[in-house]
Amino acid sequence: MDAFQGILKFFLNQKTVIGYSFMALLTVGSERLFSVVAFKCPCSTENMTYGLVFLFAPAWVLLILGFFLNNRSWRLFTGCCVNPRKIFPRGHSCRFFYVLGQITLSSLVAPVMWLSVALLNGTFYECAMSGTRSSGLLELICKGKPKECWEELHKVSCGKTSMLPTINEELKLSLQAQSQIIGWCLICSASFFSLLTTCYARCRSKVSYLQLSFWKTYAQKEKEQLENTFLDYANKLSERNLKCFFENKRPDPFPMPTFAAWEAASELHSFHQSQQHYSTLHRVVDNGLELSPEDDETTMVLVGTAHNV
Amino acid sequence: MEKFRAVLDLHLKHHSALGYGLVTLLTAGGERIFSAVVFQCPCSAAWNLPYGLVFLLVPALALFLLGYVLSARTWRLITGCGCRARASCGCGLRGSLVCAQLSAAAALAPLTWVAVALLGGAFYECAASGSAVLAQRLCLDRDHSCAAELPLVPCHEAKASDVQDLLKDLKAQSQVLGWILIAAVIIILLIFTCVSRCLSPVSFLQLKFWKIYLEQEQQILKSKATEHATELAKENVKCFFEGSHPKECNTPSVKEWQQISSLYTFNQKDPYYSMLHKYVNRKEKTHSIRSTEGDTVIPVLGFVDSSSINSTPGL
Repeated sequence: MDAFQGILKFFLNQKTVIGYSFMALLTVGSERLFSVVAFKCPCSTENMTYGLVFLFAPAWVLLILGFFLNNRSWRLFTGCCVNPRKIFPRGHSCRFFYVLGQITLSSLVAPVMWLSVALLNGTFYECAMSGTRSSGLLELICKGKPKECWEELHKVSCGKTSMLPTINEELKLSLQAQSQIIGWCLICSASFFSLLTTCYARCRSKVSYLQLSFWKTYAQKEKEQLENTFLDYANKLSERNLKCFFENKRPDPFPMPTFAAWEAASELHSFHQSQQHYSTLHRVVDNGLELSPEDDETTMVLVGTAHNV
Repeated sequence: MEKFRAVLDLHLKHHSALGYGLVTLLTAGGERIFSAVVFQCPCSAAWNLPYGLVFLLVPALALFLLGYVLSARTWRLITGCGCRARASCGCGLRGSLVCAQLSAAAALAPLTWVAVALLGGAFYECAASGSAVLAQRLCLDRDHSCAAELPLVPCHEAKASDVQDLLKDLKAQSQVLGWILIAAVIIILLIFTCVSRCLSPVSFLQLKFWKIYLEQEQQILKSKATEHATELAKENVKCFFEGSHPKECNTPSVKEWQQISSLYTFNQKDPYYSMLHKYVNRKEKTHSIRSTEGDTVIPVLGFVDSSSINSTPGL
């Protein structure tokens, strides 16, 4: 039992790694599925469109799904039209774009995984490149091959050209090789880029390593507590309402956070060196809804508009 | 027990995503079964196009209507509409906004059907091979037999091999159309969700709390309604068999039920979490909560009407 608990704890600690590995497995699995079941190169002049659509449409879908599933995007967008000052506070207009950039970068992981796996496989790229009509690319691919190559390259994937089977095979293999090279280059550059950005972000971080670990633990625990408290309060409020409805009584007062408090707690968090608040909720609870000297006009404008509602 | 609780929490947090995922999987599975088992292209010039189009579009229409039927909000909008005053029925801008939202939600399954059918290719191949307009485009550089043999292509019965090769072209066109449909639908969905979230008068955390509140209210309403109904039924049956008079039971009146069943409207001055909440907190006992100044229908708050005693939460 202890050993099992230990193993479970180990896996729970490695949640991010497991999450990404699962995503990678899913991408590989669906790429294999598509490639075997659905993808059949038409071997006509439409090759390029077909290959490119199969390469990029799933990447696009994965990018948009990444946006949908990211909590930060909804925290950023909810209520922004009604109160634009919330996301474009005076003096911090770039914050919106910074957060949007972060969300985009984290959503780009799955599409890049798809593209690398698809390019490593080679079928999609081979089909797309064999349909090219650009003379420069044709020159590159058909160098040293008989002149039928220029006209019949699009039939290479199906093996139906009038050239010798060995030359057909050679062309197929060279296209697949190009695809795999591009795939590996993509994997290398994406990993290097993500390493650089992580290093840069950690370098510019205002908190130390241990404090950062504490911060992550705090954020997780606060999230759990918030959900439990939501459930508890929702339960009590709905019990009260239903009791009053069925028994035709007047309701007792039920204390809930004010509208302004909800608005203040939903802001995106930014860390101030002097105050060391680990979340927006922490800051709202510590400062109340009054201004603290360090805070700029952003909170004032927010509270002001919230009270006008 | 804790692991089970963790799974349940996951289900509660993402139940709408899980619901939509389930609908997509079921539709995709159904389409594969249809296309493999039921669909047999007639391979005739006159019947290919209608047959293919019927298989592509009629199940989509059926799924669209089913989407309407299975949404609790539709019934909330329609029930009792004939007897009540027209104003409370939600005609005009309010009613059309609600209708538009219902249609958008009901359109998910049909669009999944059409997208999976196009990715599969069988229906489009059959329909396109029977279309005279497409035959002209495909048979452009080929001899006269091409146009005559094109309808036979889905059954692999065309004699000329280059005409038979057109089957691959048709399948490719179908799959490209399918992917373009998926890409377009998903970006439109993202834009609409962003815009409706943007127009939300409440903040992110309050919206989260609101969803949890509604689920709890639904569960408790169901258990309290069951309890109340059991008591009332017991009393009535007992009195029937004993021939006695039933004691006074405090059941909410017809008017009260009507009040809490109307479509939810948000009021900036008194933000309540449901029509029940609004009703219980009304100022005077005889006051109607049906229509007050400042009531608006907000797109992002559509989930408030989707709750009902008999349906699964949120779906």
